[in-house]
Amino acid sequence: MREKYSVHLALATGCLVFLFTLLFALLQSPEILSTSVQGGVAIPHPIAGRHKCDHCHGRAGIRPYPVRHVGWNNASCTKCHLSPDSVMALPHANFSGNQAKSVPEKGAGRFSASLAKGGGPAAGKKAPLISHPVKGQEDCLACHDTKNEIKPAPPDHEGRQNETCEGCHSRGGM
Amino acid sequence: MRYRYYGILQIGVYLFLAMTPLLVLLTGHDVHGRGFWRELAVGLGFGGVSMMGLQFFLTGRFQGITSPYGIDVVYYFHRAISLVAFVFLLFHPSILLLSAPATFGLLNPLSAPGWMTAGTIALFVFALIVGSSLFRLKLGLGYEQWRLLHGFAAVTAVALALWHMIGVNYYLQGYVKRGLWIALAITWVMALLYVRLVKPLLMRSKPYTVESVTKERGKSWTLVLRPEGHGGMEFKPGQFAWLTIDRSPFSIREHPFSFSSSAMHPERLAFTIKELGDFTATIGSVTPGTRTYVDGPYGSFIPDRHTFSGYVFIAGGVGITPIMSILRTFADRHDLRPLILFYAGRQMEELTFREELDRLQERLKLRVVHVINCPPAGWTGEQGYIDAEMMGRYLPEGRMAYEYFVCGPIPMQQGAREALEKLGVPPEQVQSESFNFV
Repeated sequence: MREKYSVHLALATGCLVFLFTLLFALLQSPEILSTSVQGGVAIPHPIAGRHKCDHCHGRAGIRPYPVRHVGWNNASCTKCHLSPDSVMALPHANFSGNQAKSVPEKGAGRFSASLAKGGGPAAGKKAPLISHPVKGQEDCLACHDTKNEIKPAPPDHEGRQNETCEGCHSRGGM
Repeated sequence: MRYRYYGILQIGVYLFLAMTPLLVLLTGHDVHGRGFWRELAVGLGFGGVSMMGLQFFLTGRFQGITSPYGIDVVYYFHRAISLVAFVFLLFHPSILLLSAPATFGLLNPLSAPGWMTAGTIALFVFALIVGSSLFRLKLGLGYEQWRLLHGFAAVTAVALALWHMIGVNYYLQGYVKRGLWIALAITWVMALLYVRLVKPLLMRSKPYTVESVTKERGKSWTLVLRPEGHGGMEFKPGQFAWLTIDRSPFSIREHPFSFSSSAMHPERLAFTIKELGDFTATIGSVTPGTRTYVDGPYGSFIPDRHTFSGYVFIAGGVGITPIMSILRTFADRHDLRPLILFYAGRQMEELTFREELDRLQERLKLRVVHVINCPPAGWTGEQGYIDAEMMGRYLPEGRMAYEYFVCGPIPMQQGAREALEKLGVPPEQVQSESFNFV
């Protein structure tokens, strides 16, 4: 009887501590709570072929995510952030406005436009200007792929596509 | 009622102490989640270690912790909550490994960092503690060996777990949080040191000498102790103490026994011990003059906590010991409230204190009902086992105003409780206590 009472008490205590632990995990996983309530910032560019989000959006990337995302993996991004691919069927207003309810940073619109408003490489750094004419040489990776021997981009640019280059690198007047 | 509120308060304090270290982890600006499953696993790890750490207090025999429930309930709780905490700790790596299979590599001690291997070993040591406690007898571990292993393994496991938590260096970044957990671990170990060092030191200053060793009926012996240079020990009738006989008070060889003497005589302590286990089998060979140390008193098997108009005692075998202390105390107090004792034994000749119980019937308003399992020829008294029908024949109509005390082998206790339930006695009016701590 007394043993049974003690075991019941221990189980009840364990359940309460577990519930508290569950609360702890939920508090530390806002992405779980937020998906059903509101979406994250809408992704303003196609994501086909771009699965390493942290290349550009890691803390040292050109457009870093908030500190609270540190430690989350790439597969988690699209749980909250809708890509254009997934919202094409939605009215435009939803994509740019209603759907992107939590917009902590300026401009959730076009990628290049947001970069022009202050995005770029890691804080305080400025991407080098493009030192040659671009016309006729739109395939940047032909010379600047990270594994290219002509003039490779830094290793952390691996996986980036041609259309993102001018997001950071200006034409330098040419 | 006072004990009930105190008990509820203690459960609240336990929950607070188990959860606060986890809550503290959320403070500060540099704690970011890393996905639900990972955080759940981490939370279970912290929660499990926090609960394991509190075990040091539960087993520390602190009077304040044991008094509302009785030490047996605290020990049962200790056993059960240890299993719960161990499940938490087991789920910690399991969830991490399942949610991120790449982390399996961290289990390889040759390539994993030291703190990771410390965590893995800590889990194994916790498993050793739980396993050796659950299967002590099957493993052939002696009580003293097990106790030694239990203490050392507990300190080792907590130290390794702390190394692991600090080594991960995520939630315990910064001096405040790290300091808090180190302080907690120090508090846990201090509770152990109190039991193993401070208490023995206090006992050492209050030794006792065995005055006499008397053979009783039913393979039992009564040891009478006299205090050396101090006033003895105040206790309540029905309580018990841990005795260390002919050894240093720092020895781990100590055993719990009920007082059988009157609580009105703290300067003369008597313990009646039956020859049962490996230690008690030799109790008759203890000689007068042997130095003994007494750690106590403990237990909530006492009639002084509540006031009732009468008491019913149900004893089996050597379970008569604490009841004898209660009856002797009542006699010394000239307490004339009605008392009924159901005393079960295999044979009439084996009933310890049989003659003294007869004499006590003249000093107290006591009725003794002997229940003999193997009665002699011509026996006209009760025989068989104590059941509701038998008790109903002796209990007065006002039985609800009585408090009931059951002491004896576990099956007898269960049978008596069931019988009392059938008679409509509220469970809170039935007291019992067990010494089956391990």
